[in-house]
Amino acid sequence: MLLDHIVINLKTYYDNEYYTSNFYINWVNLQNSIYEVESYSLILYSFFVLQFLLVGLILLVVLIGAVYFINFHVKTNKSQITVKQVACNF
Amino acid sequence: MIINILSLNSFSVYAEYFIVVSIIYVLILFILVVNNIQGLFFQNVISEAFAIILLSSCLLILNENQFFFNVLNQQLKNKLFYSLNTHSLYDNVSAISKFILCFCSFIFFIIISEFFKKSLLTFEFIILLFFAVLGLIFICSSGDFILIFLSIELVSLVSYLITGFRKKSIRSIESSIKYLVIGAISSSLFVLGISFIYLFTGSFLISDYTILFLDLTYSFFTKKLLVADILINYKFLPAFENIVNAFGSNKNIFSNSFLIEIGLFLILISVFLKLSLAPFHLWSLDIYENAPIIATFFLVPLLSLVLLFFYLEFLFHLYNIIII
Repeated sequence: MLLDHIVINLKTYYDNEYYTSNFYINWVNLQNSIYEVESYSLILYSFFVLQFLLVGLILLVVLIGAVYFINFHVKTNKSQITVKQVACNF
Repeated sequence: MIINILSLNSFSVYAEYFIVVSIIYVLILFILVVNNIQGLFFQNVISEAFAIILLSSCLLILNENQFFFNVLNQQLKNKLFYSLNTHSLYDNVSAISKFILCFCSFIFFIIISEFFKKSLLTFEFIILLFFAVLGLIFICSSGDFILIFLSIELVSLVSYLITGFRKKSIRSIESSIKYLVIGAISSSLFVLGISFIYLFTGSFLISDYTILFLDLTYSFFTKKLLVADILINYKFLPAFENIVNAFGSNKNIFSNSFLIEIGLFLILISVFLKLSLAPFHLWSLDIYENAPIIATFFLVPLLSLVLLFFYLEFLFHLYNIIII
């Protein structure tokens, strides 16, 4: 039931250029169908695709930060960077 | 069942697309070469490379038909169009704000290039800064509250990380934690405001909010208040009866428009918090004092600029101000 409701709204939205999404959906009556994964995926990957990708970018930022802050180098052996010793600018 | 996945009236996100692809490319490149001798060479030039990327994104913004046609030909009529399912908004304000942001970021990356040549900061710092620039660009061109919230969160996350980037400094870590707490409060107030507005209108899109204030359409040049023939208030929204039935017979909830006023007020408070405007300005001193200088140099001007532009644009659309 939820799936049909969403499909009808998406169709009218794309077929009719004057149709806006300024309406209120009474979700209480659609409560039985709230666990339909297909309906959520339809919305996420079509209407909210940009937001979905941006959430992925946010997670990537969190990953980079976590890796940087957790990284802890323990120097067991002495090492030299020959490029730095030889070069003028380093 | 055939559904058009994306309605692209015009692809107005060239700059964002280009920046995302360049970030991912540079990130992969650095992960592969960071422990080699070549990594030292690349670290010298990373800042200038990102500056060139931002300059080319400025050119992409300038070459968009709408911007060129309106601003450079001195046409003041504010043509507005949406793309990507009306989530991306494009008008003169967003184009100019994106251009200013990209240009200022270009200058910023050239100025801080000396820090990376002396290897005082690692490459992750500059990649995080670039993510922040991407988030700021998304704020300028978003026509949807969810997108605005996510892009503000992206910038805020990067800000928390770069203020605490000096791991061995207690002051830096302390400022990062303080900023995290303040930013979390600001974001929660923002989301609460959005939820109140969604409760009242049933939509996240800024294009749908113009119907709320149609009786206040004002023209700056002709100085006339264009009053609509039909006074449209909340009672004439298509689904008013559904709203009432969902909340029972208590019609007093919607007798005033205080819900939307509360929502806008909460959004205002969260923006004031982020911009450190009075009376929410006391946190900024502790954080800017103890954070790395590059972080404050980046956060203070660019974030303030973009949030001000967002607020202006939001009010323009909300009150349906037409510049004719």
